[in-house]
Amino acid sequence: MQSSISNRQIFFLLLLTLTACTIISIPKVIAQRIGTGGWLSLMLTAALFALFAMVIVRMNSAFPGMTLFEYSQRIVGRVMAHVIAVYFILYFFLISAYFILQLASVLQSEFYPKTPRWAMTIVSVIVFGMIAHRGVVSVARFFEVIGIIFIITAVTAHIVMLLQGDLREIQPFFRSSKLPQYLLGIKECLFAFLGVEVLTVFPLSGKRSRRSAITAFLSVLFIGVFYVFIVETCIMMLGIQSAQNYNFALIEAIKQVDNPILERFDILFLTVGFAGLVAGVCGIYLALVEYSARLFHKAGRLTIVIGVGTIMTALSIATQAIQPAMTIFESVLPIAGLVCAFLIPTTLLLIAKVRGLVQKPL
Amino acid sequence: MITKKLKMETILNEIEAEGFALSQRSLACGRGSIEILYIQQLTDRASLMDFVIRPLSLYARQEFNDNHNPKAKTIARDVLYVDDYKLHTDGSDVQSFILDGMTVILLSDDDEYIVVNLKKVEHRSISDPMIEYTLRGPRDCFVENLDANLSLIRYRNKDAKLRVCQYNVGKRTNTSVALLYIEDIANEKVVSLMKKRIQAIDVDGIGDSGELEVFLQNSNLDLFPQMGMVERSDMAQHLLHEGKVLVLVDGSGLVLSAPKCFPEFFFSCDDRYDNMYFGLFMRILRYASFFIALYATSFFVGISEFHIDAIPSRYAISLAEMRASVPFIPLVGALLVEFVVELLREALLRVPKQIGPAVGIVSAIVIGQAAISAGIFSPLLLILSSVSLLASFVMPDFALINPIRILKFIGILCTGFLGFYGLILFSCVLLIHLVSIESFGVPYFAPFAPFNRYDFVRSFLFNISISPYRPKYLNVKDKKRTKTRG
Amino acid sequence: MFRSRCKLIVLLLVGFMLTGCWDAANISSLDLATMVILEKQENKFSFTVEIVKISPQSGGEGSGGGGGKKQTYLTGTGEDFAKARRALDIQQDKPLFLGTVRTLVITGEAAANDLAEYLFRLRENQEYRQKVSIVILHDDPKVLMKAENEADQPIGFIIDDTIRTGQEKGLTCAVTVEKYINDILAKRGFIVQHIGLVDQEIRLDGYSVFRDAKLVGLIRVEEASGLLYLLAERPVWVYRLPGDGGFITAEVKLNKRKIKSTYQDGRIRFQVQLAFGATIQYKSDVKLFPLNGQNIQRYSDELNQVLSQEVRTAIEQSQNTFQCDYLDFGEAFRLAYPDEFERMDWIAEYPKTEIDISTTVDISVSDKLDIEAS
Repeated sequence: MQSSISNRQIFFLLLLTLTACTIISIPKVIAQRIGTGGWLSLMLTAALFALFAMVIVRMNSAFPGMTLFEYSQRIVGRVMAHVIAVYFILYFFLISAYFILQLASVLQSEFYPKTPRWAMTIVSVIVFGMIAHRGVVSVARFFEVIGIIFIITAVTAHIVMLLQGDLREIQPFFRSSKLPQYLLGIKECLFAFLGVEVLTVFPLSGKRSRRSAITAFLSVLFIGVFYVFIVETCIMMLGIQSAQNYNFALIEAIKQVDNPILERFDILFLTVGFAGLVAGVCGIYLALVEYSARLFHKAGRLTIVIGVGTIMTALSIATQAIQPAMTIFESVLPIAGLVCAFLIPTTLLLIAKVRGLVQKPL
Repeated sequence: MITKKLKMETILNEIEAEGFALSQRSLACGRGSIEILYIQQLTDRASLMDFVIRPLSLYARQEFNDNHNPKAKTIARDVLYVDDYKLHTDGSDVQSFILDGMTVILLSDDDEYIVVNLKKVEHRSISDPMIEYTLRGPRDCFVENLDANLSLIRYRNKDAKLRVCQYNVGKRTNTSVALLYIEDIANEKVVSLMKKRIQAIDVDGIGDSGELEVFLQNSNLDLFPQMGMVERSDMAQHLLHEGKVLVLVDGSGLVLSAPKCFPEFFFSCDDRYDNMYFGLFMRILRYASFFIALYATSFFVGISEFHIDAIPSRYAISLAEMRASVPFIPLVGALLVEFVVELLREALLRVPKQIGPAVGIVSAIVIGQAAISAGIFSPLLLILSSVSLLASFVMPDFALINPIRILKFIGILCTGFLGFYGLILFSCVLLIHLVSIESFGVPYFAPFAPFNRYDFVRSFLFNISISPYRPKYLNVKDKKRTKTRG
Repeated sequence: MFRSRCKLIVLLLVGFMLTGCWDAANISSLDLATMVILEKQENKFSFTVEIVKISPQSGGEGSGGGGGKKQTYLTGTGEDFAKARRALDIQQDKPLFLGTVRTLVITGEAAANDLAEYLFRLRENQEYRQKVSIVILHDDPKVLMKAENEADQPIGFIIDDTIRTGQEKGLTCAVTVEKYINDILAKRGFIVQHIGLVDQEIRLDGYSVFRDAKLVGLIRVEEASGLLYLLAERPVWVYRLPGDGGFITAEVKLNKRKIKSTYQDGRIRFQVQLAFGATIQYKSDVKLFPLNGQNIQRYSDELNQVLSQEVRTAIEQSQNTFQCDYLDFGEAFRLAYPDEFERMDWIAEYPKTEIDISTTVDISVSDKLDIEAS
């Protein structure tokens, strides 16, 4: 099997990993902390992360067929590469615990009130493991299929919401007096774009690397536009005041949609939307497996998948018992994520350029 | 030093010692003799009489005296009225030729012997297809005789580059297997892989192409078939032109094709003969049928058990009324109904023709009407199961129906445990499985994943005049199908 | 390979077995509720639920006739919502399913001071449909339960259908539970549909006005045209105008609504521009004067006056009678002057605002008939 991913797969990988779980709560965050001009903060954050994604893809293209762990050994040496890998592993464990906690919370609050979270967590992690076990190329293809269904369904549903919602709730679109708030709002939006660092485990072929980098850049920008669309339509349906009270504002907004076929329109989200969420969390799981497999190369892949799954499950269940877990995650993860998405790849790129290991892109 | 006569006698003694029923005709010729060995049941005796024994007798009587001995080469060239013959010298092969249905002519004074093909095996005549039935298009289908099948393919493909490689597989059955491909189209890697796998088979015998398929596939443990089954010769011709490799097995009426991708199970040759838009409509219908067959009953279980509020209130009340007298929970009811449907399917497949219609009527009345009246099943569940059954028959490739039958039960169980989220998890596992398997190096889910726009569009909208290129995912040598554009 | 697959499949099966179907509920073993009535009497709350009687369908045909209503009613009373619900739950022989509730009826007494708390309770309760209709009722709920209908449908369905039909026909405005909650959180006024019983028939009676989430008054449906022109999406009203020796009937639709606001020297001013389209449908007498340009202009002016007056009445009612902005003028001002809006107390400012109304009527004759043909 060819061991690299295509540009289209990069797009879907980014879309599903970035929107996994954070898409549910982002309308509340924007409504509460920024207000009606939140679209500007989202687009600015998207532009920032688009650059980060471009850097990561640039590095992957410069070392065809290699992941960050492999080419960082060439750039900064074996020891540093191992330190970086350990950092990534810890970070991915944290983010996966957060995503799974969020997933279990959503399922319990909205659809399965009596099913305990630990049961949901165990079943979900087993499925994520089965998917991640198949490897990078298979998961990339999986993203391609799920991604297209997800995007078509989401766009259709939100167009309906756009038609049914109240446009006044998202106006005024821009207030010059709130510009400092919009700029500070970038900090609140960081969370929505965590996941870009998953690209570090997907090797590229190195052919047309300039095009791959542009694809990554435009993909993240598109995701920013997608977020804006989601957030604005949710606020149109719920109202700016009401949206602040719902932790899972997206689902509450979808429930308001009037249609003759489904009484609860969020069943569509339970099916197609959750397929996207599952795919996104699988991306994180896969990243963990890939890094762990490279660190513990003597262990079999299945052992690593089960080991990672066990730790992930234990961590998720443990965090469910901690009351302010979400708050802790939301404060720690953006900083940790910035290190993975920006600091490490940029530093590696600079060192590689200084050492002449990276050529001009094709 | 062993004399020539002794060698023939040795061979005859060995054959007699084996004890398999064979016929022997001796002719005196000069100072020696000619022995004709054959198995009656496998030989065309009329041809044997007219084209071998008669000319040989005349030859033996007229041409030879005590000083002249017959030579195999001369006899084969000048005496026999046959087109398919070979000369051999290895005495150890005589038995296998005879068992293969050949007629062996041994000469007492020659090392060489003649092997003549006068095989005549009883087989059914070419008839209408049974599993690839069509309204439009040719109806000649393959039969159990390899030569007949090859003739069907040959008359449609008069391509000089059509290659036929023949092998014998099975230590005891020595089944003839033919590998067909068009040399300047087919992917070399697929051809060589296929050849390697056929040659590596070490087994007692092969009865059908299905048994051979097990040895040729990447993985035998997969639910989804990685090779196609072809019953019609026009389909075989089309596949050869796509760059596929065909495997014909003597004794089997179904031909195998490789590589085979998941979306190709929704293709039918009718789509090429009919209007392009009708072909598009049919493909969409087939994809919809696949989802209905797989998910209809699971959907019912999900709605009735977990997500009652997903449907409008009026429907929920109707549904509750329909289920009011049913004693089982939806999960158990669904499993029972599907089990009964599977029983019916199998029963109708194997029931003798005389009582077939009666069984159909009984099942319709008993299961359909009586079960509802007795309150065992709800009408909606029965309707959905029936629709699911019908939908499974819409698939043109029969091989896909079996995985659906099994997966349906798993889907029902997953939905019964965890509602639509369980169904989604099941679908994700199914999808990752489909995208990760390969059929002879070709991704199984191509052209959906990895996505290729040209092939994707052509997988729905196909017209030979506007589809100049062969599928990209097959990686064939000659990528262009036609130069003209409609 | 085979072993690793087996292990993963076994793990998955074990995982699924763990789920235990906690949330599985057979639809036929639930009490399906279609309406909930919230009452308050002597400081005690009562929940009354309308439950559909499920009768098995026989032989695949529709359920046959048979005497008796198809709905039952259960009531639970308590000092607060939770206790009232508990009192209701302990009477149930089957679990109550609220996902099929179409209408929430709140009596005037319950709505007077406690609507906000109930709406927050509703928001938190995932059992309810989020698109449930809320109506206020001043009559005795017991009379409502006895209301008859030919098809013997649940009352909850009838009320919801009545409101939806009215919305589709432009006879009432569409309001959702989320909008009420949004208005409460934003400290805005809002209106809730009010129903009543006339000759055993349920009908839309008017609109209850809420200020600070408290009931402050009622606008009768006959007086609500101006209100609808300002709030509804596509309101339609029919007018009968006097002519020379007869009457002309015209159907009036609102084509465009624009509210502009200006803020100068601390004074807030609104310009309400309403563009109507009127279609003359029929005359009361064939001998009435012909519908030529001059006459049509006359009718246009008359309609203009009537419409303008109705809108003015609605605005004056909101500013003076109820002193409550349920007409969304605050929203128009917020969009134009968001910073100023944030700084001021809109509830106090609204009654002082000046509102100018300008209406235009584009009158035409019905396309279907030529009522002038002799």
